[in-house]
Amino acid sequence: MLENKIAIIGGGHAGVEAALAISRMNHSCYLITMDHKSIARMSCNPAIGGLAKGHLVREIDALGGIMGLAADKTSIQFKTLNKSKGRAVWSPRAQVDKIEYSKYVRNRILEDKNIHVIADEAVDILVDKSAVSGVKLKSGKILHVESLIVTTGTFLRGKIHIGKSAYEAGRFAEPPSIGITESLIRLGFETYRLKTGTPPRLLANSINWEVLDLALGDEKINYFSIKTKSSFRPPNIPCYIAKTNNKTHEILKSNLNSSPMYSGQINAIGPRYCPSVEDKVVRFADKESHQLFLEPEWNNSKQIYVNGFSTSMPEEVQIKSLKSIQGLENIELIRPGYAIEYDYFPSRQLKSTLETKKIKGLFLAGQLNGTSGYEEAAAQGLVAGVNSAHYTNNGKPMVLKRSESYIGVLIDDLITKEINEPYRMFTSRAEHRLFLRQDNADLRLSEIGIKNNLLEPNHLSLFNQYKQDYDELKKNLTKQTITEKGKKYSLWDYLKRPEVQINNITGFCFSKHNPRVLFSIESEAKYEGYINIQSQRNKKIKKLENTPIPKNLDFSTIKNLSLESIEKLNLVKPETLGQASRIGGVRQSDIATLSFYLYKKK
Amino acid sequence: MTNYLDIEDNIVALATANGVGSIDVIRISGNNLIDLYAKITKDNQIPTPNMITKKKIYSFIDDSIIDTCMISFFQSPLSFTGQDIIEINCHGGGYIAHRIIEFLCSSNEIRKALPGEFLFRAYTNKKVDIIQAESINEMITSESITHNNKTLENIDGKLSEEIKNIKKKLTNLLLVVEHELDFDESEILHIQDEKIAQKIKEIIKKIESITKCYFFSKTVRSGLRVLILGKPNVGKSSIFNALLGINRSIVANMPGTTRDVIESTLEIDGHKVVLIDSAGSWESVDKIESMGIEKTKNEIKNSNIVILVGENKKDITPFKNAIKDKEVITVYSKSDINDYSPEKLSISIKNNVGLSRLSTEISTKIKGYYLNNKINNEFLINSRQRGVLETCNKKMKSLLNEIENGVNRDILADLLHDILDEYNNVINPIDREDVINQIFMGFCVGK
Repeated sequence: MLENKIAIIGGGHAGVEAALAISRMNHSCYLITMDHKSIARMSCNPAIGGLAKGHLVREIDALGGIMGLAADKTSIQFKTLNKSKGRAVWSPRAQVDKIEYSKYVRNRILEDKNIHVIADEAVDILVDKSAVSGVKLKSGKILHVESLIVTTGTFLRGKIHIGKSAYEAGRFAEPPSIGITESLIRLGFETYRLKTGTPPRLLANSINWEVLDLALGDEKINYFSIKTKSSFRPPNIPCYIAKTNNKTHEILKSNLNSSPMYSGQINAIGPRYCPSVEDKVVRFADKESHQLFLEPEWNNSKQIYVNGFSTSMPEEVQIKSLKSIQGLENIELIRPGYAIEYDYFPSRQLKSTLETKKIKGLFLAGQLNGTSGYEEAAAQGLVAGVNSAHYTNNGKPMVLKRSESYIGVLIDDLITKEINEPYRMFTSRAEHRLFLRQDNADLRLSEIGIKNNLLEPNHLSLFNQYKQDYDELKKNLTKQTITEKGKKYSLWDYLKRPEVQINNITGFCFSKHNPRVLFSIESEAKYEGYINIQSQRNKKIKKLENTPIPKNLDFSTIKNLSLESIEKLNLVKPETLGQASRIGGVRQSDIATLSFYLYKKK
Repeated sequence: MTNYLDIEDNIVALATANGVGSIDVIRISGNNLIDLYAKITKDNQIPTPNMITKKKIYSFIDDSIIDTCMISFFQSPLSFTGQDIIEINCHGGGYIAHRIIEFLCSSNEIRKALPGEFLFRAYTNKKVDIIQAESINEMITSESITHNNKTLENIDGKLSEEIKNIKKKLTNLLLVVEHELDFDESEILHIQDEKIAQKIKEIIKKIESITKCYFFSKTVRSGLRVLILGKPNVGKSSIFNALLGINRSIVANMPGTTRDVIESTLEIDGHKVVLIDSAGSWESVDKIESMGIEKTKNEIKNSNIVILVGENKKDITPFKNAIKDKEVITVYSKSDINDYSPEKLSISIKNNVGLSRLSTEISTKIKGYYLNNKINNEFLINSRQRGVLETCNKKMKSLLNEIENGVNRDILADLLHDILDEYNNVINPIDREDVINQIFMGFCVGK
């Protein structure tokens, strides 16, 4: 048995990706969770992926993570969003069976010989000479480890609000974790509050399904994982669409003073892009109706998730306003929607490896870094897991660049930007959006995965096949020519035309190739020219990106920096000039000064 | 090596021109000048900002009194550079000011400012944008009331305002497109391609209305070109000299070394005017078609107003075609020896006949020029600004082509980002994050 040098606190989406990554790298770890059953629990909506998040899932998969495969295996319907808006923003999303999903991941964790699940609560972080030395459990037991990954999500000092009533809790009906926040604060970490919410769950047979619009998945499935077989088909279980109306809005508006958000009971800042329904009716007052998706939480589920109706109104207001909606006139709540306030740790306290700057070997990942969403959490968990294994082994850290992945954009944004609401991924956050497509995630990242020992043997052979297929096809396309109106074109250039598709070029047949390879290569050809324009523009950024800033540089010793910038720079301690340039509040002229200083130092 | 980036240094410079005048103004800028103020005035009271006070100035070198001055203090951030500023109005002549600057710089606390360094600090402290900084810089070189007024408009933000308005249109368009990519899960496009194309066309037009001011701006800067044209020996030089005699000359006669022309710069009715004597340029009219043709055409092309001189109709006619698009004043010269006709503009320099009428004609044409160019609606732009704006328009026109060919929205958004990045160079660069933040502020958000 391997020696456990690493412990992970929390078995959510970040925790499991961290544990599995460590295991794939042939290290072993403890996974501390209060309850086995909560491993990989989907606490909010029953879906994986979606706009920009689908990209993250594809990237996690390319690095050997479990999220994509688990979503494929347990999906009930699949849909690629944004299909009419261009391939760079195509975003796969799976509606999944929540119970099956967490069961799938849990089993994978429990059968893993390198992962030792401990049902306990972590209460204190032990530190020796600014480095992690262990973690103390509620049972009194101490685990001596070199590295610790904290992934406690929204559990830290969680406070639930439903109407005027508020109580301490983790997620619904789960106790909050309190000790770790205090422990981190004692170690000198700053913490702030954030807020997020969840909609009510309805009893399926109280809904009048007949009058609602049907929302089915795609026929042609763009599944997540390279490991999923192309013959795979989910059952395609429908979701339904309900619509709010003026009466619904009236009821919500007339009860605003009982919403903790409006009465000032919650001081934390909520997400603008996943706003509560009471927020929506106030802010978008001229919109007459909002769409609600009624999503089954699992196959044959009695519990229906009301996507779009996140709220912290009192239960009776929730019922009254829902009942004003066609098809929901007789609904019964299984449980009401609620808002949760929790601690997060601003990620400027982290390096791009997700290790804290203060304490060696201590990593923070997931929602406690201020992000929202399973996908953002999982991506961080994976990166933290990899780097914690490297830490215990003196390996070279894995830092993904903004120019090669959404994960890189996510982490770089987190560590350089001030967050004042839960951070969610968007395609517009990526300067290299045209290159960072979901269709080339394997090509972008799997080689990095290989370098970090992250691909299991079957994944490695699937990727090698894929890559070989891709390279061969690309070579052929650049060599073979087509003649049109007396002019000769290489197939590669011919493919650039908007109307040309690889499967209908007269005289050529590529059906022996993997359909995903065909799609990816077609995108590559079509986007090549535009990607070049983009990278031309981003060249300037790259130069900054490649200029490192010495680790222990005290910015106040640099003459001529403005005081405001010194403060921000010393707070964030950027690792490169590129990072420094993205810190909010640092002046452009100070970046020039800084680059001048670094240049003189050389 | 001193550098503009050394913004912590205290800097000093003479703000008035070198030369004899009744006062000189010395300006000092730095992060904290209260101690310095006390040191040079021997007054430990904290100075009241924006007040001018009579004080003796003491040298730190030997404690001697150098001058009794009017001194004012502007406190950061409410000053021109955004830092503390001390302004010393000392007695003029240059020597006293020079002594004050020398003793200030002897202390190692202060160094002499680099050219434009006060302005650079104003820019880094966001007191002015790049256009304003450029305009301040330009204003001090202006040589006419028009030029002066137009630069002042830009310092007040006239051009910056318009640039920002256009930027807002561009950003709003990008926000709509990005919003559909990132927030709307339905496949319905709320803004159609035609509408986007129309908005881009509107922006192109707006930008064109600025870039086309470049020619006007050039005229404001280098002066309206008034060309005296005619056959040899019809009296062009006499008219040239006579006009110089009655107007304020900005630059003395300068024989053109490359163009074989004599130019002189004047101010007429507050406008800068370059008077050009084409003497020596065109040996004979016949040769217009041969040797000198390019030079002739160029001079005519560059001129705004042509004074066509001839003794009679025969002298005039051969030029008619070459100047048919120009504002022309036809002058019949040597009325002392030729026929005098009151209907025509007949002139005799010798007898001082018709010169004031010519002057009036020139004034009328100049006023007409600025009137036609609707002086108040024109922007003063420089070639850097024009260059950036024209690149933007070129990019937008190619984007229109892309839209025509059915480009996808992800690419369209990216090309818009590219245009916006370019456009920002006109006035101030912004972070991409700003765009994202604005998306959230301005839009309805679905799940």
